[in-house]
Amino acid sequence: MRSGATILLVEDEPEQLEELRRAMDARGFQVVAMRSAARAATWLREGGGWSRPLAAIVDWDLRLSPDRSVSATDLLCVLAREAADCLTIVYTANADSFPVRSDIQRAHPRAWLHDKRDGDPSLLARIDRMLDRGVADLRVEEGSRVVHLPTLAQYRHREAVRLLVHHPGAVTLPSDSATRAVRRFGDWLERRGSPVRVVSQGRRRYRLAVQEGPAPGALPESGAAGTAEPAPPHHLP
Amino acid sequence: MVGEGPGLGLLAPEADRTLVVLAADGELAVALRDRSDRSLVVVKDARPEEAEAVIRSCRPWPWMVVGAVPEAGPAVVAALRRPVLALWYGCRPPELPRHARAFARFADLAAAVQQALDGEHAGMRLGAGAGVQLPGGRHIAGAALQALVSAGDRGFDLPLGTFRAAARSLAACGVAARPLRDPRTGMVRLGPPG
Repeated sequence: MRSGATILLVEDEPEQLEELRRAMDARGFQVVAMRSAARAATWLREGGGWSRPLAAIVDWDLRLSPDRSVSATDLLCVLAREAADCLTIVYTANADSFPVRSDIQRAHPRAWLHDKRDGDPSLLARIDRMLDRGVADLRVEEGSRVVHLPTLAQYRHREAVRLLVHHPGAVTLPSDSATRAVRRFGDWLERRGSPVRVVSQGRRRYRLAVQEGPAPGALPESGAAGTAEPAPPHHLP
Repeated sequence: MVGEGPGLGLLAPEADRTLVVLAADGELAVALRDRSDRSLVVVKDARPEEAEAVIRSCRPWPWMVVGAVPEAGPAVVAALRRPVLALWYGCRPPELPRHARAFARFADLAAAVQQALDGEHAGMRLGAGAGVQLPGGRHIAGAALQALVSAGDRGFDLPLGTFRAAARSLAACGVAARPLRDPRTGMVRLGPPG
């Protein structure tokens, strides 16, 4: 099984779903593509921590969905409740409509809105920007692994990727095993002399912090290090 | 999930800093969300009848309540017994505490929200998500402390004891600040250590 980050795609038009699925697959993501919000909601609820996607792309208008028992609004509520750290993008051709924006915001206060009229390339570019993250000497590659740039060592774990993607914010971990994985990631960073540290905020909430000055025992840099404190993930162009 | 109805995502527990907008429709919340840095604040758009549930979903309590309704209601009044910033658009309900502020123009209200997000004291600023960032990147959790940083010199009309945990955190981190009652205004704000 691949360890790539999971992306949830919910789109009722089969051709567009397939197109997006292929584009995400080519980027190295583990894509869960569904035509109905009902199936997506069931997958989120029954999959436990393993089905927590790094990002979700939800079509607001699911009129062509084979199962319309659950609306996009309901699915956004499930994402807000069950996968709050999932970067959620709602795309709609009515992005200018005030009632639509209000409904989306109430269903998922953290959701991002994307104008469907800008086309799939714009949506994909946005996902790329959201996941193209660097923190000090670390960088996320293909949404699935953390690379320590000075040594090119890689750490493959979805929670490590999630910590970088949400930096400087914190993430809430869903289980003890995820907590252990994040602690192992902290040890891994220390062994590599990275100035980045994993910081616990209690109640399974963790964030990354960048120590000032050179880390003790830091390895020489390759010259390709990322910025020390990049813009938060929510500053999207 | 079927039957949960729309809007319940805003009742999901939120540990990050929250701005609860209380209005008859979502226009004000959408406008404030458009203007706010989303790494610093999560905007929750509530109707008056949802106020209690939405406020309860903010852990430990909301950072700010913005109202555009004629009556604050018991849930808001109870919430404002904690260090919660309160801004009102239009007429200010009489039941609000003294530290609540009212604005006739949206631009002034939005500027006040921004000013609270940009609050700074002794090098402390709001950190991403929740809590306060110290110079050098150190982070202190604490809803009361972040409220004091955001309130600036205006402070809160609350008992000084409300800020005991903030005072302890500041002392433990060696920050040159403490909560004190301003003898001029009677409000509790951050000031130099005694």
